[in-house]
Amino acid sequence: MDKIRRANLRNIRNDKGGLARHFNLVNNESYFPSARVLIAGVGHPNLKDLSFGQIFLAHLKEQNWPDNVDLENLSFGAIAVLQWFQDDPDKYDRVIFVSAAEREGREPGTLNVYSWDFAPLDEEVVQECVAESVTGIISLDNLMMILQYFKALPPEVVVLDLEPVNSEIGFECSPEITARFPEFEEIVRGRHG
Amino acid sequence: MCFKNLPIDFDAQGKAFLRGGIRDPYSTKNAITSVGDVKTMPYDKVRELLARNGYIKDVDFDPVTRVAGALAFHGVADLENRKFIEARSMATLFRGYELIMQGRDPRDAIFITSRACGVCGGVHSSCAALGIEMAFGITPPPLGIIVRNLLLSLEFLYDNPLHLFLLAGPDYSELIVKATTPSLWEKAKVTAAPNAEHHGYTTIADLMKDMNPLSGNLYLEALHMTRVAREAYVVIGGKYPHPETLVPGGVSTTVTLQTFNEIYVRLQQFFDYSKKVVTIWDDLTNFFYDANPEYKKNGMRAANMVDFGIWDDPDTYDSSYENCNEWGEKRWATPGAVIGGELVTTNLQNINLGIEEFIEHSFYKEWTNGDGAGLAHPTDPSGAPLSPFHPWNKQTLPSPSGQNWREKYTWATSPRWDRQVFEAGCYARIWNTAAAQKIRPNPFIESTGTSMKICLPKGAKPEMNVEWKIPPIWNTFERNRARAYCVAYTAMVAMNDWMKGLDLLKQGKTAVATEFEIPKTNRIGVGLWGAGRGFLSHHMELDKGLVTNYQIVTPSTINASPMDAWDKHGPYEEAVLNTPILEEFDKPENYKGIDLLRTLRSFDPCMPCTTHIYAGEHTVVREINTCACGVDG
Repeated sequence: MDKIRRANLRNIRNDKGGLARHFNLVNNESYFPSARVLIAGVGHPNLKDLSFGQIFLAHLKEQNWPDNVDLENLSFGAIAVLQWFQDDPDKYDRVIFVSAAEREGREPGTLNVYSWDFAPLDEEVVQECVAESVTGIISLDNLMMILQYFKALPPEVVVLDLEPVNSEIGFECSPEITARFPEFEEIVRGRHG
Repeated sequence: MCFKNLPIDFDAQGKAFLRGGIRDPYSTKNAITSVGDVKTMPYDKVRELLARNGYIKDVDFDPVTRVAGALAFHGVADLENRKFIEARSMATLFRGYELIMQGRDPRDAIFITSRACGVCGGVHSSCAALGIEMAFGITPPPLGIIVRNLLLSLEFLYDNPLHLFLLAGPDYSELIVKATTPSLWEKAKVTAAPNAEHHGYTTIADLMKDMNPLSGNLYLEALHMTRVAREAYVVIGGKYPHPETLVPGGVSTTVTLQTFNEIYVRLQQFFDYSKKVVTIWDDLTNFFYDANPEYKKNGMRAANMVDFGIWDDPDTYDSSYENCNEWGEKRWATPGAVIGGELVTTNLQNINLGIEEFIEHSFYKEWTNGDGAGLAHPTDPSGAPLSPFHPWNKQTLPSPSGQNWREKYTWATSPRWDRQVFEAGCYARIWNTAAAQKIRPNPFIESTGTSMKICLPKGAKPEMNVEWKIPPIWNTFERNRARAYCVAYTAMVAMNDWMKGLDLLKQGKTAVATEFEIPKTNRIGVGLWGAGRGFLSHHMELDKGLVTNYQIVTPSTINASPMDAWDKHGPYEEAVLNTPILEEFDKPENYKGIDLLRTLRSFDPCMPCTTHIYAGEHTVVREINTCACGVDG
């Protein structure tokens, strides 16, 4: 199943500058004046870098953002998140997900930034994602596939997907990752590259 | 006299004592009488057949664990004679909440043990709170007990429909039935659904179409109903699945008339939903039985099941072990042990005395020398004898080793009651309660001794009376049918509690928690409770204000248990060994394993894992959804 899932993540790009070329991000109001943007953290808590989605989101919440930007912790289960989106289906034009996952063959500390490509999904895999989600698993991959399948995603979706350096129990990210928060924030703001 | 195997007798006043004249009364070398044993082929004989017979296949469920834990299953199928000749259930991950809890403030148990399960963490929180209350000697105010009961009900109203339509349900959908038993699908197309007026499906095939995963209306409706239950839960629990408001001595939330109104608008949606759920599962079950009576053997076991009961009576519950029989029998779900289909006790103390855990086939070290000498607790707080293998005496001593089907092969232990293999499930609580006839007078639920009658109030649909009857056989289909009736049962228990809570509010009895101090002396306590999947216990010992021993027995540990000290198979294993292979396939490599999967899923196993079925060179990837609480060891 992981292989199938990884196939769905084929838009992964390592060139962070590429993001800036393809996405004029959230604070560029002149380019996208009416964009309603959601920055969402996803992940389990208390697992250091594996909790990047929640910890980095908390960091972002301490910063100043334009009125058209919301920040939400969407780590409460993919089905509940789906229903959250379905409550107000046209609320956002763009969503930026921040999360971490341990992926085979990826160097610790790598941040992949990519746009979600809405490639066709295998229904059996989606069903597995649903089953995992309702039984308590918090996973970016499950969330993305469920949101896509049920057509809950806005037209533009950007993902910041981190390979953890340290996934042990802990409330903070590792020092290596924490030190890069300003860099990651610049990526979210679209100023990088 | 409820024990056939444990060396415990009772005097004229019903007080338990250790039977005299036995040199080593709790030795596992002592013979036992077991109900529902299954005969299996010797290990070496199975290996020989595997080597020389093309129709004898390894059918392995190889787990890929993502986060929480894993269940795996090894079987050997005789595809020619259409039966299983070997079965082994494996919990492949050790997490050790028992070890995590040692040396901690007991209040931490409410929040830490909740994480044992991603579906139903709240049941662990409340079970821990009950155990702490017993150890501390405190009792919640009546409204605190009512709120705790409501939390439990709402958790089950999330959990049981989820299983019936999202996890087990797809096995009965058009997609699966058509692919695995085409002849059955043809019959479904021409079979009228007897309960069409209640659920709206004219034929069984129509019903099966709407059970299709992702697209079927019943699947999608169940997804929606999980939200309804979850919303009601968070009104009083703060969040789901790990509530923030459960504390020793009650709850930490403020409850008002508005709170009750917010719960009611969601709870009442389950009245009509229950009418649909029970009639759907009645029709599905009866269709399979009529289409091929061999389906009655799918997942068949002797009806051995144990449950502590749940949903306390606020006028009786005092948290004490000394009075546990009185407050236990006042629960909306009566405690009980059913052996061979007969209810042998409803006495909560006896049910607790009968529990032992064995580790002969598990990756743990023995903690007793077998003769009971030097036991931490030779008796319970009321002076009744306790086995060295009882959770109050147990120590968790992990000892990882290589997997060997004949010896040690799992991280799950083998919990047994009176040394009998038993299973856990919500169906145990409906069975006990139906048989015991101890339920308190109320407008919605009646226990007849052989059935439970449930009155579902008028909603968009008219009032409807449904009746779950104790079945003459116990199998895959009856587990699911009983679970469907548990949705109705749970909804009406919640309604009873809702009305009682409103009454307390009207009387101005608004307190929901009691004050306490953490005692510094040596104490023991136990939460005797239940999860969506049944039986749940948290046994604990405290000293100097800290936890010195903590033992959790979960339903998935029980159901996924390996063979025991007498080499009696655990419930999954036994149920699979009794399951005929009715799937239609032209050659072994096209075998999909649906009968085995239906059997395992009927237990509502609870541990997220991906499962690969391997049949010769043919691999099928499927998922079993189980709870992480099965791997706590």
